Amino acid sequence: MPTEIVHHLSPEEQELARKRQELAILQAELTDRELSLANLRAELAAFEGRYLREVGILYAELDDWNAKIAESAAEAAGTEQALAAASEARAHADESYAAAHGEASRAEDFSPSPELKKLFKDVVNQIHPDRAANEIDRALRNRLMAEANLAYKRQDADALRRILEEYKSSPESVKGDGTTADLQRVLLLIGRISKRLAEIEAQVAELTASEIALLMAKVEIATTKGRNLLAEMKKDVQYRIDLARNEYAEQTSRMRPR
Amino acid sequence: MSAGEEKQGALVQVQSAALTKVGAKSLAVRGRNHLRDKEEAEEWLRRGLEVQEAMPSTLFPEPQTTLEYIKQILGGTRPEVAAENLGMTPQDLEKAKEAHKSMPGTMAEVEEENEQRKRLLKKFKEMEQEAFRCFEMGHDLDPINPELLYWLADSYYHGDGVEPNEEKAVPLYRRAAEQGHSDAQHMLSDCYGEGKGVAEDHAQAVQWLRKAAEQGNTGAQYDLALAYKYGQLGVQQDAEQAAIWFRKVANRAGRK
Repeated sequence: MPTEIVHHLSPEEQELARKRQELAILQAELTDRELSLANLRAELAAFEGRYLREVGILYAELDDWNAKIAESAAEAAGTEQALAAASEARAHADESYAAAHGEASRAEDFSPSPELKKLFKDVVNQIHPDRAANEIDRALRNRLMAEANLAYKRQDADALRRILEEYKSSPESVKGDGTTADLQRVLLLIGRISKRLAEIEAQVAELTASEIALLMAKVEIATTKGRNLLAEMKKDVQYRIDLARNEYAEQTSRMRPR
Repeated sequence: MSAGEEKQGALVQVQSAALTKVGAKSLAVRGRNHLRDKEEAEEWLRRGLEVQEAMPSTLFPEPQTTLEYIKQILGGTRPEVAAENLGMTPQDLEKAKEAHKSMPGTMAEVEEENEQRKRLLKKFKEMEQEAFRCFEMGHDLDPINPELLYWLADSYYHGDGVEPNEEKAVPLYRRAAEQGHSDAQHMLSDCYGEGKGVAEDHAQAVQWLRKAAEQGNTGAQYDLALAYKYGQLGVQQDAEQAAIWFRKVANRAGRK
């Protein structure tokens, strides 16, 4: 009687197979969500840069004129109140200047090519910390992932490739042996990825509710209606700058003995 | 450099980055407030125009019949003066009074009608003031919005809801005109042409009139045609040019 060799999976092996499937689905979702989070971050940074360069610097200029007006008024009046108002106006102008000319204003426009997106996806797929087999591996992945996020934000494909290379050349992660160990490892990964997905959701929600995101949404909606809100704002602030400049000129000419 | 110093250096950097971040956020908040102000200004404009729209175009319809004339005269506080203005002799007035007695409509009715007119006039003035207030509020929020500049200027120019003040109207018209508002350009041209609120300057008048006409402003096209036809505003008389601009007006009118 021929005996058919059928390999019956033990309940534990069946569970492992199911969980591996679940893990694969979660890993794919994780990659997508990491990509959209990175995109959102980079788009916001790019918009912020543009906004600061176009409108922010004009606000800073306006604040500077207002501080000058307050300072010359304080000089004329000499009262403590006027001096306090002037130093407050100057502090405000300094803050605006620092913000408008700071690091954030240098963010370049973000328009990643499909290749760059694909490359970043590969990086996430291979080095995401939540795929780590052990703590040493995890530490390495954490560092590389942070670098990859920055590289993607500045659209640096070479850096992304280097990061991939670096990870590939690190020693292969050791797999656990035995079904029980495997199942435990898979369950641990599922737990980590679920946690990370929840974190991503929270970060996306936070970013979407941020001031710069709300401003960007407004500007984008207006763009679809054929309005350029940033240009309109620039015109407004420029007008206010002209008024302030005139006011300052009038004020100082009044003060000087002729 | 010791580890401690290094740490401190990094900390300072992080702090100043955080401060810049705070500044960038406050600039974003400012931008959003700015846009909200502009939206609110649009809302005030819309409300002001709505109030204008709701105002009756004529409050005092011309009396249509002899009866209405007589009623108007007898209902007035000084019928003698009114009668004289209408070229009626005292005898005519007496006759009219006699006739009025036999007419339907009593003195009480006439008085009631006058009361109604007074109430309407009061309401009309209130609406004008309301519209002016809307334009003013909107203008404060968005001082370069050309539509608000134009309507605020118009209120000052005609004294709608505010003391008439042509000197205040002209710079407002000008700021709207400079942004390409063709009605404002036409009005600014009028101001220069007649020296209202600004020194008379025919060259300026023609320049603004032409800008408005070239933008397709029918009123300005008509005025420009007249200027060519009669050689007004220092324009060289030119029948051909006049015809060209008259035709544009006619075509526009025909399309409507």
